[in-house]
Amino acid sequence: MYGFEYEFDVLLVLRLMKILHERDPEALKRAIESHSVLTLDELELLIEPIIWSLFEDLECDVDEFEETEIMRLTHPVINSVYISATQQQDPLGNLQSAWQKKIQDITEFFINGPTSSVYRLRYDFSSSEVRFEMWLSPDYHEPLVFLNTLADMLLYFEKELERLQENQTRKEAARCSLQRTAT
Amino acid sequence: MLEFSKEHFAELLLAAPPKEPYVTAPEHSAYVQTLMDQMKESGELDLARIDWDAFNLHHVTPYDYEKLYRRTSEGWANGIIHFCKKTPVVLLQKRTFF
Repeated sequence: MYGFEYEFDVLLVLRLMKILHERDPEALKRAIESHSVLTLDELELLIEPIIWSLFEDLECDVDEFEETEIMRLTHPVINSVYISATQQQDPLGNLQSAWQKKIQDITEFFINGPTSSVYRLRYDFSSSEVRFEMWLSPDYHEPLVFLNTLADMLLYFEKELERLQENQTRKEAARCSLQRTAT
Repeated sequence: MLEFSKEHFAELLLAAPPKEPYVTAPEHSAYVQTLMDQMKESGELDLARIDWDAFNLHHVTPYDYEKLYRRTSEGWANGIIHFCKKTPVVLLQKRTFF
């Protein structure tokens, strides 16, 4: 598209930075201060502060037995989707497990689908928090693509949250108008 | 116990909003082209001098990036078809889809 041999990788870095800029321009400024020049050799070094800014609650650990890196992740937007979806009226009592399954599907689509970077994925659902645990493959991890798909997952959850909130507002308005006509 | 209604299921499918693309289609940007030319010539890019409001997300989305997701969707659809084909015929009241 731009006639540059390595444009795929460079664009993926710029894409992550643009996503961060749209959410928090000051965080991008801080990330750039620590690493202000982009070179082809240091592309992966640069995305690290970006991803820490996008996912502030990200924790990294090493599984010494399997010699792999583990990422533990939770995010306020994903938690809000879970809370707002499961707080609706649930006459059959299936809503919570249905939304847990739906969140698992979304996560697997973005995390396991495009790359083979993650070879094991675990979920932990509490009443108000969703936590993912991901084992990164030592052989097939593609950090640039993987972190972009992780950011895409966040964008998807943001849209989902917006949709849920719109639905709730619409339902609330309909309930108020019904009450008004009844009185 | 509630019974599965094929008619109601089909109604819900038809009422579902249209599928939105996971990633907006990539587009060329003259501004990003200047950044790429700079990268090509000097092998580096001064990030502090980039105007982050001068372009949109689809301008920095690589061509073919959306293929990653298309492949996943197709793989999932093929998986569902595979499982349905393995379902014993006696359990299917009617072979509606395949």
